[in-house]
Amino acid sequence: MNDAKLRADPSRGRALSPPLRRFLRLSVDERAVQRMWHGIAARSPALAARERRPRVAAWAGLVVALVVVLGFVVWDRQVLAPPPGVLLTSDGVPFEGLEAAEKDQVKTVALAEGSRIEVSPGARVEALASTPSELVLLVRRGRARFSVTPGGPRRWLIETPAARVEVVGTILSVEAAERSVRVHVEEGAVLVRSAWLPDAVRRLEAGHSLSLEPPEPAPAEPRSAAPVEPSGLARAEPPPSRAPAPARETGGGARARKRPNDGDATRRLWADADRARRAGQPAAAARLLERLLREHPEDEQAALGAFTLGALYADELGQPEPAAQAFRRALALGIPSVLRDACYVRWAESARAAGDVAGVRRAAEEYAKKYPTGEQLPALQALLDDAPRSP
Amino acid sequence: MTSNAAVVLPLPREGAVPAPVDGELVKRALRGEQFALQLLYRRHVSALTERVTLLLSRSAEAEDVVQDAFVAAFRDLRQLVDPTRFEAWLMRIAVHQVHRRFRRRRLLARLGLDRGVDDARLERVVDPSASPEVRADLARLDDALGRLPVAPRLAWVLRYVEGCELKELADQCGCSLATAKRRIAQADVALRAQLGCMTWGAEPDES
Repeated sequence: MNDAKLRADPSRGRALSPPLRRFLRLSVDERAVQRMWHGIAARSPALAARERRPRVAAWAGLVVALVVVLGFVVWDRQVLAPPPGVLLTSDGVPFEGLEAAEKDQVKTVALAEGSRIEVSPGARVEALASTPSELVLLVRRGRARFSVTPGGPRRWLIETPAARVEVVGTILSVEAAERSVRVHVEEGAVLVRSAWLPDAVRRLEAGHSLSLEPPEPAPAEPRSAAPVEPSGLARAEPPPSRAPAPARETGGGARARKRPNDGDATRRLWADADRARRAGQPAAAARLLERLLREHPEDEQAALGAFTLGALYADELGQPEPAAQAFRRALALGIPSVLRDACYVRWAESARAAGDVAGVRRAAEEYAKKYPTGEQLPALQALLDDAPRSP
Repeated sequence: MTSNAAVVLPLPREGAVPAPVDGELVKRALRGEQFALQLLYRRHVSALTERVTLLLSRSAEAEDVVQDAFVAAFRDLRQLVDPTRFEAWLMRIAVHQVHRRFRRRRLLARLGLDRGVDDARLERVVDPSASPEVRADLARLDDALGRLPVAPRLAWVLRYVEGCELKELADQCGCSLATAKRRIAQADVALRAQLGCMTWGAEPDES
Protein backbone atom coordinates (compact mmCIF):
# COMPACT_ATOMS: atom_id res chain seq x y z
CA MET A 1 0.00 0.00 0.00
CA ASN A 2 1.27 3.47 -0.83
CA ASP A 3 2.45 5.51 2.03
CA ALA A 4 -0.24 8.21 2.25
CA LYS A 5 0.91 11.75 2.78
CA LEU A 6 -0.84 14.96 3.50
CA ARG A 7 -0.22 17.63 0.98
CA ALA A 8 -1.02 21.28 1.06
CA ASP A 9 -2.96 22.57 -1.89
CA PRO A 10 -0.57 25.09 -3.39
CA SER A 11 -3.27 26.62 -5.51
CA ARG A 12 -4.93 27.83 -2.31
CA GLY A 13 -1.73 29.09 -0.79
CA ARG A 14 -2.09 26.95 2.32
CA ALA A 15 0.99 26.06 4.25
CA LEU A 16 -0.28 23.25 6.46
CA SER A 17 1.68 20.11 5.73
CA PRO A 18 2.76 17.16 7.81
CA PRO A 19 4.10 16.56 10.27
CA LEU A 20 1.82 19.08 11.86
CA ARG A 21 3.90 19.02 15.00
CA ARG A 22 6.07 21.74 13.62
CA PHE A 23 3.13 24.14 13.77
CA LEU A 24 2.55 23.41 17.42
CA ARG A 25 4.20 24.46 20.61
CA LEU A 26 4.00 22.04 23.45
CA SER A 27 6.06 22.07 26.59
CA VAL A 28 6.09 20.27 29.89
CA ASP A 29 7.07 22.52 32.73
CA GLU A 30 9.15 21.43 35.65
CA ARG A 31 6.29 21.59 38.10
CA ALA A 32 4.30 19.14 36.00
CA VAL A 33 7.31 16.83 35.85
CA GLN A 34 7.67 16.91 39.61
CA ARG A 35 3.95 16.58 40.15
CA MET A 36 3.71 13.50 37.95
CA TRP A 37 6.72 11.99 39.64
CA HIS A 38 5.06 12.33 43.03
CA GLY A 39 2.08 10.42 41.71
CA ILE A 40 4.23 7.71 40.17
CA ALA A 41 6.41 7.32 43.23
CA ALA A 42 3.37 6.96 45.46
CA ARG A 43 2.10 4.08 43.36
CA SER A 44 5.33 2.28 42.53
CA PRO A 45 6.55 -0.41 44.91
CA ALA A 46 9.90 -0.24 43.13
CA LEU A 47 10.34 3.28 44.41
CA ALA A 48 9.26 2.40 47.91
CA ALA A 49 11.76 -0.41 48.26
CA ARG A 50 15.17 0.37 49.64
CA GLU A 51 17.71 0.89 46.97
CA ARG A 52 20.26 -1.85 46.87
CA ARG A 53 23.84 -0.83 46.47
CA PRO A 54 25.25 -1.55 43.04
CA ARG A 55 27.60 -4.45 42.96
CA VAL A 56 31.23 -3.99 42.19
CA ALA A 57 32.27 -1.49 39.46
CA ALA A 58 33.10 1.51 41.62
CA TRP A 59 33.67 3.44 38.38
CA ALA A 60 30.00 2.95 37.44
CA GLY A 61 28.97 4.48 40.73
CA LEU A 62 31.37 7.32 40.12
CA VAL A 63 29.85 8.03 36.70
CA VAL A 64 26.40 8.14 38.21
CA ALA A 65 27.59 10.39 41.01
CA LEU A 66 29.20 12.72 38.49
CA VAL A 67 25.95 12.92 36.56
CA VAL A 68 24.13 13.84 39.74
CA VAL A 69 26.67 16.46 40.76
CA LEU A 70 26.86 18.02 37.32
CA GLY A 71 23.12 17.98 37.08
CA PHE A 72 22.84 20.03 40.24
CA VAL A 73 25.67 22.36 39.26
CA VAL A 74 24.16 23.37 35.93
CA TRP A 75 20.54 23.09 37.03
CA ASP A 76 18.50 26.19 36.27
CA ARG A 77 16.95 26.10 39.71
CA GLN A 78 13.43 26.00 38.35
CA VAL A 79 12.38 24.67 41.72
CA LEU A 80 13.47 27.79 43.60
CA ALA A 81 13.96 28.20 47.27
CA PRO A 82 10.56 29.51 48.33
CA PRO A 83 10.31 33.00 49.74
CA PRO A 84 10.18 33.04 53.53
CA GLY A 85 6.74 32.44 54.98
CA VAL A 86 5.32 30.55 52.00
CA LEU A 87 3.45 27.48 53.13
CA LEU A 88 5.22 24.32 52.02
CA THR A 89 4.03 20.80 51.51
CA SER A 90 5.50 18.04 53.60
CA ASP A 91 7.90 17.44 50.69
CA GLY A 92 9.31 20.89 51.04
CA VAL A 93 7.88 22.48 47.90
CA PRO A 94 5.56 25.48 47.95
CA PHE A 95 1.94 24.52 47.91
CA GLU A 96 0.39 25.90 44.75
CA GLY A 97 -2.70 23.87 44.32
CA LEU A 98 -4.21 20.44 43.96
CA GLU A 99 -6.41 19.01 41.31
CA ALA A 100 -7.95 15.64 40.72
CA ALA A 101 -8.99 15.00 37.17
CA GLU A 102 -12.10 13.11 36.33
CA LYS A 103 -10.60 9.82 37.30
CA ASP A 104 -10.79 7.43 40.11
CA GLN A 105 -8.97 8.66 43.09
CA VAL A 106 -9.03 11.28 45.76
CA LYS A 107 -5.85 13.33 45.81
CA THR A 108 -4.30 14.44 49.06
CA VAL A 109 -1.51 16.80 49.97
CA ALA A 110 0.02 17.03 53.41
CA LEU A 111 1.33 20.43 54.37
CA ALA A 112 4.47 21.07 56.35
CA GLU A 113 2.64 22.38 59.38
CA GLY A 114 0.45 19.31 59.61
CA SER A 115 -2.66 20.38 57.75
CA ARG A 116 -4.08 18.30 54.91
CA ILE A 117 -6.08 19.04 51.82
CA GLU A 118 -8.02 16.44 49.88
CA VAL A 119 -9.73 16.93 46.55
CA SER A 120 -12.35 14.63 45.11
CA PRO A 121 -12.32 13.58 41.44
CA GLY A 122 -13.05 16.58 39.27
CA ALA A 123 -12.17 19.06 41.97
CA ARG A 124 -9.54 21.78 41.90
CA VAL A 125 -8.03 23.88 44.66
CA GLU A 126 -5.63 26.72 43.93
CA ALA A 127 -3.41 28.68 46.30
CA LEU A 128 -4.03 32.36 45.70
CA ALA A 129 -1.78 33.77 48.39
CA SER A 130 0.55 32.41 51.03
CA THR A 131 2.13 34.60 53.68
CA PRO A 132 3.35 33.94 57.20
CA SER A 133 -0.02 35.05 58.54
CA GLU A 134 -2.50 34.02 55.91
CA LEU A 135 -3.23 31.33 53.35
CA VAL A 136 -5.84 32.05 50.71
CA LEU A 137 -7.15 29.09 48.74
CA LEU A 138 -9.70 28.93 45.97
CA VAL A 139 -11.99 25.93 45.53
CA ARG A 140 -12.54 26.46 41.87
CA ARG A 141 -14.79 23.45 41.43
CA GLY A 142 -15.78 20.23 43.10
CA ARG A 143 -15.37 19.06 46.65
CA ALA A 144 -12.34 19.59 48.82
CA ARG A 145 -11.76 18.65 52.44
CA PHE A 146 -9.48 20.65 54.66
CA SER A 147 -7.96 19.48 57.94
CA VAL A 148 -6.43 22.62 59.35
CA THR A 149 -3.98 22.23 62.21
CA PRO A 150 -5.23 24.16 65.23
CA GLY A 151 -2.90 26.75 66.68
CA GLY A 152 -1.08 27.37 63.42
CA PRO A 153 0.23 30.84 62.62
CA ARG A 154 -1.86 31.31 59.52
CA ARG A 155 -5.43 32.25 59.05
CA TRP A 156 -6.97 30.19 56.27
CA LEU A 157 -9.34 31.82 53.84
CA ILE A 158 -11.10 29.45 51.49
CA GLU A 159 -12.67 31.23 48.59
CA THR A 160 -15.31 29.84 46.29
CA PRO A 161 -17.13 31.58 43.46
CA ALA A 162 -19.95 32.40 45.86
CA ALA A 163 -18.58 32.54 49.37
CA ARG A 164 -15.50 32.90 51.54
CA VAL A 165 -14.88 30.63 54.48
CA GLU A 166 -12.59 31.81 57.25
CA VAL A 167 -10.99 29.01 59.16
CA VAL A 168 -8.95 28.74 62.31
CA GLY A 169 -8.04 25.21 63.31
CA THR A 170 -10.80 22.98 62.03
CA ILE A 171 -11.82 20.17 59.70
CA LEU A 172 -14.27 21.11 57.02
CA SER A 173 -15.43 20.30 53.51
CA VAL A 174 -16.17 22.84 50.85
CA GLU A 175 -17.89 21.94 47.63
CA ALA A 176 -18.16 24.51 44.88
CA ALA A 177 -20.28 24.26 41.75
CA GLU A 178 -21.26 26.86 39.20
CA ARG A 179 -24.27 28.07 41.09
CA SER A 180 -23.93 26.69 44.55
CA VAL A 181 -21.52 26.12 47.37
CA ARG A 182 -21.79 23.78 50.32
CA VAL A 183 -19.78 23.98 53.53
CA HIS A 184 -19.77 21.25 56.14
CA VAL A 185 -17.82 21.60 59.37
CA GLU A 186 -16.63 18.47 61.10
CA GLU A 187 -14.60 20.05 63.88
CA GLY A 188 -14.06 23.60 65.09
CA ALA A 189 -15.88 26.59 63.69
CA VAL A 190 -15.78 28.73 60.59
CA LEU A 191 -17.15 32.00 59.35
CA VAL A 192 -18.89 31.98 55.98
CA ARG A 193 -19.23 35.27 54.17
CA SER A 194 -21.39 35.55 51.10
CA ALA A 195 -23.65 38.07 49.42
CA TRP A 196 -26.20 35.30 49.25
CA LEU A 197 -26.50 35.18 53.02
CA PRO A 198 -29.17 37.32 54.64
CA ASP A 199 -26.62 39.09 56.86
CA ALA A 200 -23.71 38.41 54.55
CA VAL A 201 -21.94 36.33 57.19
CA ARG A 202 -22.72 33.19 59.14
CA ARG A 203 -20.81 31.28 61.78
CA LEU A 204 -20.88 27.50 61.43
CA GLU A 205 -20.09 25.23 64.36
CA ALA A 206 -18.99 21.61 64.26
CA GLY A 207 -21.58 19.26 62.84
CA HIS A 208 -23.34 22.03 60.95
CA SER A 209 -23.60 22.55 57.24
CA LEU A 210 -24.55 25.38 55.00
CA SER A 211 -25.71 25.29 51.41
CA LEU A 212 -25.78 28.43 49.35
CA GLU A 213 -27.50 29.10 46.09
CA PRO A 214 -28.28 32.42 44.47
CA PRO A 215 -31.65 33.79 45.50
CA GLU A 216 -34.23 33.20 42.77
CA PRO A 217 -36.99 35.62 41.83
CA ALA A 218 -39.56 32.83 41.45
CA PRO A 219 -41.79 32.71 44.52
CA ALA A 220 -42.30 28.95 44.57
CA GLU A 221 -39.73 27.92 47.12
CA PRO A 222 -37.33 30.33 48.77
CA ARG A 223 -33.81 29.04 48.45
CA SER A 224 -32.08 31.12 51.07
CA ALA A 225 -29.39 29.27 52.91
CA ALA A 226 -30.20 27.71 56.22
CA PRO A 227 -28.14 25.61 58.55
CA VAL A 228 -29.45 22.19 59.41
CA GLU A 229 -29.43 20.24 62.64
CA PRO A 230 -26.14 18.80 63.79
CA SER A 231 -24.80 15.92 61.75
CA GLY A 232 -27.12 16.71 58.87
CA LEU A 233 -26.23 17.98 55.45
CA ALA A 234 -28.08 20.91 53.91
CA ARG A 235 -30.11 19.94 50.91
CA ALA A 236 -30.96 22.38 48.18
CA GLU A 237 -33.88 20.24 47.07
CA PRO A 238 -36.03 17.77 48.91
CA PRO A 239 -34.75 14.26 48.52
CA PRO A 240 -36.56 11.76 46.35
CA SER A 241 -39.32 10.10 48.31
CA ARG A 242 -38.14 6.56 47.82
CA ALA A 243 -34.96 5.12 49.17
CA PRO A 244 -32.77 3.36 46.64
CA ALA A 245 -33.57 -0.26 46.08
CA PRO A 246 -31.15 -2.65 47.78
CA ALA A 247 -28.28 -3.92 45.69
CA ARG A 248 -28.91 -7.09 43.86
CA GLU A 249 -26.03 -9.53 44.12
CA THR A 250 -25.37 -10.90 40.72
CA GLY A 251 -22.17 -12.02 39.05
CA GLY A 252 -19.82 -9.30 37.95
CA GLY A 253 -20.42 -8.23 34.39
CA ALA A 254 -23.81 -9.91 34.15
CA ARG A 255 -25.98 -8.38 31.52
CA ALA A 256 -29.57 -9.51 31.71
CA ARG A 257 -31.78 -9.27 28.69
CA LYS A 258 -34.47 -6.67 28.45
CA ARG A 259 -37.98 -7.76 29.11
CA PRO A 260 -40.21 -7.73 26.04
CA ASN A 261 -41.76 -4.34 25.22
CA ASP A 262 -39.57 -2.53 27.75
CA GLY A 263 -37.47 -0.72 25.18
CA ASP A 264 -39.70 2.31 24.74
CA ALA A 265 -40.38 2.69 28.45
CA THR A 266 -36.73 2.59 29.43
CA ARG A 267 -35.71 4.90 26.63
CA ARG A 268 -38.31 7.40 27.77
CA LEU A 269 -37.14 7.23 31.36
CA TRP A 270 -33.53 7.69 30.28
CA ALA A 271 -34.44 10.64 28.10
CA ASP A 272 -36.56 12.24 30.80
CA ALA A 273 -33.84 11.78 33.41
CA ASP A 274 -31.26 13.27 31.09
CA ARG A 275 -33.52 16.21 30.34
CA ALA A 276 -34.10 16.85 34.04
CA ARG A 277 -30.41 16.69 34.79
CA ARG A 278 -29.56 19.15 32.02
CA ALA A 279 -32.31 21.47 33.23
CA GLY A 280 -30.64 21.67 36.64
CA GLN A 281 -33.16 19.43 38.37
CA PRO A 282 -31.04 16.69 39.89
CA ALA A 283 -33.74 15.57 42.32
CA ALA A 284 -36.16 14.98 39.48
CA ALA A 285 -33.47 13.20 37.51
CA ALA A 286 -32.71 11.01 40.51
CA ARG A 287 -36.39 10.11 40.91
CA LEU A 288 -36.56 9.05 37.27
CA LEU A 289 -33.44 6.95 37.53
CA GLU A 290 -34.75 5.33 40.71
CA ARG A 291 -37.88 4.44 38.80
CA LEU A 292 -35.82 3.07 35.93
CA LEU A 293 -33.94 0.80 38.30
CA ARG A 294 -37.06 -0.20 40.17
CA GLU A 295 -39.21 -0.98 37.17
CA HIS A 296 -36.55 -2.23 34.77
CA PRO A 297 -33.77 -3.74 36.86
CA GLU A 298 -32.84 -6.11 34.09
CA ASP A 299 -32.35 -3.42 31.51
CA GLU A 300 -28.95 -3.70 29.89
CA GLN A 301 -28.13 -0.17 30.93
CA ALA A 302 -29.29 -0.51 34.53
CA ALA A 303 -25.71 -0.52 35.80
CA LEU A 304 -25.00 2.77 34.06
CA GLY A 305 -28.22 4.16 35.45
CA ALA A 306 -27.13 3.24 38.95
CA PHE A 307 -23.76 4.86 38.39
CA THR A 308 -25.37 8.05 37.14
CA LEU A 309 -27.75 8.00 40.09
CA GLY A 310 -24.82 7.70 42.47
CA ALA A 311 -23.12 10.66 40.85
CA LEU A 312 -26.29 12.75 41.17
CA TYR A 313 -26.67 11.90 44.83
CA ALA A 314 -23.02 12.52 45.61
CA ASP A 315 -22.24 15.54 43.48
CA GLU A 316 -25.45 17.47 43.17
CA LEU A 317 -27.77 16.41 45.97
CA GLY A 318 -25.23 16.03 48.75
CA GLN A 319 -26.62 12.70 49.88
CA PRO A 320 -23.69 10.36 50.38
CA GLU A 321 -25.63 7.46 51.82
CA PRO A 322 -27.89 6.80 48.84
CA ALA A 323 -24.92 7.63 46.64
CA ALA A 324 -22.93 4.82 48.20
CA GLN A 325 -25.84 2.44 47.76
CA ALA A 326 -26.22 3.43 44.13
CA PHE A 327 -22.53 2.92 43.33
CA ARG A 328 -22.57 -0.41 45.06
CA ARG A 329 -25.60 -1.39 43.08
CA ALA A 330 -23.94 -0.34 39.84
CA LEU A 331 -21.14 -2.77 40.58
CA ALA A 332 -23.57 -5.55 41.39
CA LEU A 333 -25.41 -4.91 38.12
CA GLY A 334 -22.22 -5.21 36.13
CA ILE A 335 -20.79 -1.77 35.42
CA PRO A 336 -18.55 -1.73 32.31
CA SER A 337 -14.92 -2.31 33.14
CA VAL A 338 -13.81 1.17 32.12
CA LEU A 339 -15.96 2.61 34.93
CA ARG A 340 -15.42 -0.15 37.42
CA ASP A 341 -12.49 1.37 39.27
CA ALA A 342 -14.19 4.75 39.43
CA CYS A 343 -17.29 3.08 40.80
CA TYR A 344 -15.39 1.44 43.66
CA VAL A 345 -13.68 4.66 44.59
CA ARG A 346 -16.91 6.60 44.49
CA TRP A 347 -18.64 3.98 46.59
CA ALA A 348 -15.90 4.24 49.19
CA GLU A 349 -15.86 8.04 49.06
CA SER A 350 -19.60 8.24 49.50
CA ALA A 351 -19.53 5.75 52.35
CA ARG A 352 -16.85 7.76 54.06
CA ALA A 353 -18.82 10.97 53.60
CA ALA A 354 -21.80 9.24 55.15
CA GLY A 355 -19.67 8.20 58.11
CA ASP A 356 -20.04 4.56 57.16
CA VAL A 357 -16.62 3.14 57.97
CA ALA A 358 -17.86 -0.39 57.48
CA GLY A 359 -18.98 0.60 53.99
CA VAL A 360 -15.58 2.02 53.16
CA ARG A 361 -13.95 -1.18 54.36
CA ARG A 362 -16.40 -3.29 52.36
CA ALA A 363 -15.59 -1.39 49.17
CA ALA A 364 -11.85 -1.58 49.72
CA GLU A 365 -11.85 -5.25 50.65
CA GLU A 366 -14.08 -6.26 47.78
CA TYR A 367 -11.90 -4.43 45.31
CA ALA A 368 -8.71 -5.86 46.78
CA LYS A 369 -10.13 -9.36 46.65
CA LYS A 370 -11.36 -9.15 43.07
CA TYR A 371 -8.53 -7.05 41.69
CA PRO A 372 -5.44 -7.68 43.79
CA THR A 373 -3.28 -5.63 41.39
CA GLY A 374 -5.89 -2.98 40.76
CA GLU A 375 -4.71 0.56 40.18
CA GLN A 376 -7.01 2.01 42.78
CA LEU A 377 -5.80 -0.05 45.70
CA PRO A 378 -3.71 2.82 47.13
CA ALA A 379 -6.60 5.24 46.77
CA LEU A 380 -9.05 2.92 48.48
CA GLN A 381 -6.60 2.21 51.25
CA ALA A 382 -6.14 5.95 51.74
CA LEU A 383 -9.89 6.40 52.01
CA LEU A 384 -10.04 3.64 54.58
CA ASP A 385 -7.17 5.14 56.56
CA ASP A 386 -8.84 8.53 56.57
CA ALA A 387 -12.34 7.34 57.35
CA PRO A 388 -13.67 8.87 60.56
CA ARG A 389 -13.81 6.56 63.52
CA SER A 390 -17.26 5.25 64.32
CA PRO A 391 -18.83 7.03 67.27
CA MET B 1 7.16 7.71 49.46
CA THR B 2 10.82 7.80 50.42
CA SER B 3 12.92 10.91 50.41
CA ASN B 4 14.75 9.47 47.37
CA ALA B 5 11.54 9.72 45.43
CA ALA B 6 10.53 13.15 46.69
CA VAL B 7 12.10 15.17 43.89
CA VAL B 8 13.08 13.83 40.53
CA LEU B 9 16.51 14.92 39.40
CA PRO B 10 17.13 16.94 36.26
CA LEU B 11 18.82 15.59 33.17
CA PRO B 12 22.48 16.45 32.75
CA ARG B 13 23.15 19.31 30.36
CA GLU B 14 25.19 19.06 27.23
CA GLY B 15 28.85 18.76 27.95
CA ALA B 16 28.25 16.82 31.11
CA VAL B 17 29.34 13.23 31.51
CA PRO B 18 27.01 11.17 29.29
CA ALA B 19 24.37 9.30 31.20
CA PRO B 20 23.89 5.58 30.75
CA VAL B 21 21.75 4.47 27.80
CA ASP B 22 18.26 3.15 28.34
CA GLY B 23 19.31 -0.48 28.17
CA GLU B 24 21.82 0.00 30.93
CA LEU B 25 19.32 1.93 33.05
CA VAL B 26 16.72 -0.79 32.69
CA LYS B 27 19.21 -3.38 33.86
CA ARG B 28 20.16 -1.23 36.81
CA ALA B 29 16.55 -0.62 37.67
CA LEU B 30 15.96 -4.35 37.70
CA ARG B 31 18.78 -4.61 40.19
CA GLY B 32 16.93 -2.20 42.43
CA GLU B 33 18.55 1.13 41.66
CA GLN B 34 15.87 3.78 42.10
CA PHE B 35 18.07 6.39 40.52
CA ALA B 36 17.91 4.44 37.26
CA LEU B 37 14.13 4.68 37.32
CA GLN B 38 14.36 8.40 37.97
CA LEU B 39 16.66 8.87 35.00
CA LEU B 40 14.40 6.84 32.74
CA TYR B 41 11.48 8.94 33.86
CA ARG B 42 13.27 12.21 33.39
CA ARG B 43 14.55 11.21 30.01
CA HIS B 44 11.18 10.26 28.55
CA VAL B 45 8.52 12.17 30.49
CA SER B 46 8.44 15.26 28.29
CA ALA B 47 8.15 13.47 24.98
CA LEU B 48 5.60 11.06 26.38
CA THR B 49 3.50 13.82 27.93
CA GLU B 50 3.48 15.84 24.72
CA ARG B 51 2.47 12.86 22.62
CA VAL B 52 -0.28 11.78 24.99
CA THR B 53 -1.52 15.35 25.20
CA LEU B 54 -1.89 15.48 21.43
CA LEU B 55 -3.70 12.17 21.38
CA LEU B 56 -6.11 13.03 24.18
CA SER B 57 -6.48 16.79 23.62
CA ARG B 58 -6.74 17.19 27.41
CA SER B 59 -3.72 18.15 29.46
CA ALA B 60 -5.02 16.97 32.84
CA GLU B 61 -5.94 13.56 31.48
CA ALA B 62 -2.60 13.40 29.73
CA GLU B 63 -0.78 13.73 33.04
CA ASP B 64 -2.86 10.93 34.49
CA VAL B 65 -2.10 8.68 31.53
CA VAL B 66 1.61 9.46 31.73
CA GLN B 67 1.61 8.51 35.38
CA ASP B 68 -0.34 5.33 34.64
CA ALA B 69 2.09 4.45 31.86
CA PHE B 70 5.20 4.88 33.99
CA VAL B 71 3.67 3.00 36.89
CA ALA B 72 2.82 0.13 34.56
CA ALA B 73 6.25 0.24 32.92
CA PHE B 74 8.11 0.21 36.23
CA ARG B 75 5.88 -2.55 37.52
CA ASP B 76 6.30 -4.77 34.46
CA LEU B 77 9.90 -3.92 33.68
CA ARG B 78 10.94 -7.54 33.87
CA GLN B 79 8.66 -8.32 30.95
CA LEU B 80 10.60 -6.02 28.64
CA VAL B 81 12.44 -8.43 26.40
CA ASP B 82 14.85 -5.93 24.86
CA PRO B 83 15.93 -3.32 27.44
CA THR B 84 17.17 -1.02 24.69
CA ARG B 85 13.57 -0.60 23.50
CA PHE B 86 12.29 0.93 26.71
CA GLU B 87 11.04 4.09 25.03
CA ALA B 88 9.06 2.27 22.35
CA TRP B 89 7.61 -0.04 24.96
CA LEU B 90 6.64 2.85 27.19
CA MET B 91 4.94 4.61 24.29
CA ARG B 92 2.99 1.48 23.50
CA ILE B 93 1.77 1.23 27.08
CA ALA B 94 0.73 4.88 26.96
CA VAL B 95 -1.20 4.49 23.70
CA HIS B 96 -3.03 1.55 25.20
CA GLN B 97 -3.92 3.72 28.21
CA VAL B 98 -5.13 6.43 25.84
CA HIS B 99 -7.51 3.93 24.26
CA ARG B 100 -8.92 3.11 27.67
CA ARG B 101 -9.38 6.79 28.43
CA PHE B 102 -11.35 7.32 25.27
CA ARG B 103 -13.61 4.39 26.08
CA ARG B 104 -14.23 5.83 29.51
CA ARG B 105 -14.76 9.29 28.14
CA ARG B 106 -17.32 8.03 25.66
CA LEU B 107 -19.22 6.27 28.35
CA LEU B 108 -19.19 9.23 30.70
CA ALA B 109 -20.33 11.47 27.86
CA ARG B 110 -23.32 9.22 27.28
CA LEU B 111 -24.22 9.61 30.92
CA GLY B 112 -23.73 13.34 30.84
CA LEU B 113 -20.88 13.02 33.33
CA ASP B 114 -17.96 13.93 31.14
CA ARG B 115 -16.75 17.23 32.56
CA GLY B 116 -13.38 17.26 30.87
CA VAL B 117 -12.30 20.20 28.76
CA ASP B 118 -10.39 19.79 25.50
CA ASP B 119 -7.79 22.36 26.49
CA ALA B 120 -5.07 20.86 24.29
CA ARG B 121 -6.71 20.66 20.88
CA LEU B 122 -4.38 21.39 18.01
CA GLU B 123 -5.57 24.96 17.62
CA ARG B 124 -4.98 25.56 21.34
CA VAL B 125 -1.37 24.42 21.26
CA VAL B 126 -0.47 26.08 17.98
CA ASP B 127 2.73 28.06 17.87
CA PRO B 128 1.96 31.73 18.54
CA SER B 129 3.71 32.68 15.32
CA ALA B 130 1.40 30.54 13.18
CA SER B 131 -0.64 32.36 10.56
CA PRO B 132 -4.40 32.79 10.89
CA GLU B 133 -4.83 30.36 8.01
CA VAL B 134 -2.93 27.67 9.82
CA ARG B 135 -4.95 28.29 12.95
CA ALA B 136 -8.20 28.08 11.06
CA ASP B 137 -7.16 24.87 9.34
CA LEU B 138 -6.12 23.32 12.63
CA ALA B 139 -9.45 24.25 14.17
CA ARG B 140 -11.30 22.53 11.35
CA LEU B 141 -9.02 19.56 11.67
CA ASP B 142 -9.71 19.40 15.40
CA ASP B 143 -13.43 19.18 14.78
CA ALA B 144 -13.02 16.56 12.12
CA LEU B 145 -10.67 14.44 14.22
CA GLY B 146 -13.12 14.63 17.09
CA ARG B 147 -15.68 12.85 14.97
CA LEU B 148 -13.44 9.94 14.03
CA PRO B 149 -13.50 6.58 15.77
CA VAL B 150 -10.69 6.28 18.29
CA ALA B 151 -8.38 3.82 16.55
CA PRO B 152 -8.21 5.65 13.19
CA ARG B 153 -7.96 8.97 15.00
CA LEU B 154 -4.98 7.89 17.06
CA ALA B 155 -3.26 6.34 14.05
CA TRP B 156 -3.78 9.49 12.02
CA VAL B 157 -2.47 11.78 14.76
CA LEU B 158 0.59 9.61 15.31
CA ARG B 159 1.27 9.58 11.61
CA TYR B 160 0.55 13.10 10.45
CA VAL B 161 0.84 15.18 13.57
CA GLU B 162 3.68 13.38 15.29
CA GLY B 163 5.33 12.19 12.10
CA CYS B 164 5.76 8.58 13.21
CA GLU B 165 7.03 6.08 10.70
CA LEU B 166 4.50 3.39 9.88
CA LYS B 167 6.40 0.62 11.59
CA GLU B 168 6.79 2.69 14.75
CA LEU B 169 3.13 3.62 14.62
CA ALA B 170 2.04 0.01 14.29
CA ASP B 171 4.21 -0.93 17.22
CA GLN B 172 2.78 1.80 19.41
CA CYS B 173 -0.77 0.95 18.48
CA GLY B 174 -0.13 -2.72 19.09
CA CYS B 175 -1.33 -3.73 15.64
CA SER B 176 0.06 -5.04 12.39
CA LEU B 177 1.46 -2.77 9.71
CA ALA B 178 -1.51 -3.61 7.50
CA THR B 179 -3.96 -2.66 10.23
CA ALA B 180 -2.11 0.58 10.87
CA LYS B 181 -2.28 1.49 7.20
CA ARG B 182 -5.94 0.58 7.07
CA ARG B 183 -6.72 2.81 10.05
CA ILE B 184 -4.85 5.71 8.52
CA ALA B 185 -6.66 5.22 5.25
CA GLN B 186 -9.98 5.08 7.07
CA ALA B 187 -9.19 8.36 8.79
CA ASP B 188 -8.04 9.91 5.51
CA VAL B 189 -11.33 9.08 3.81
CA ALA B 190 -13.39 10.47 6.67
CA LEU B 191 -11.32 13.64 6.92
CA ARG B 192 -11.53 14.25 3.18
CA ALA B 193 -15.27 13.92 3.39
CA GLN B 194 -15.47 16.42 6.23
CA LEU B 195 -12.78 18.90 5.34
CA GLY B 196 -13.85 19.37 1.78
CA CYS B 197 -11.64 22.03 0.27
CA MET B 198 -8.58 21.09 2.26
CA THR B 199 -6.48 18.60 0.37
CA TRP B 200 -5.61 15.51 2.41
CA GLY B 201 -4.97 13.19 -0.42
CA ALA B 202 -2.86 10.08 -0.70
CA GLU B 203 0.17 10.37 -2.92
CA PRO B 204 2.10 7.71 -4.69
CA ASP B 205 5.02 6.50 -2.71
CA GLU B 206 8.00 8.45 -3.84
CA SER B 207 10.35 5.51 -3.39
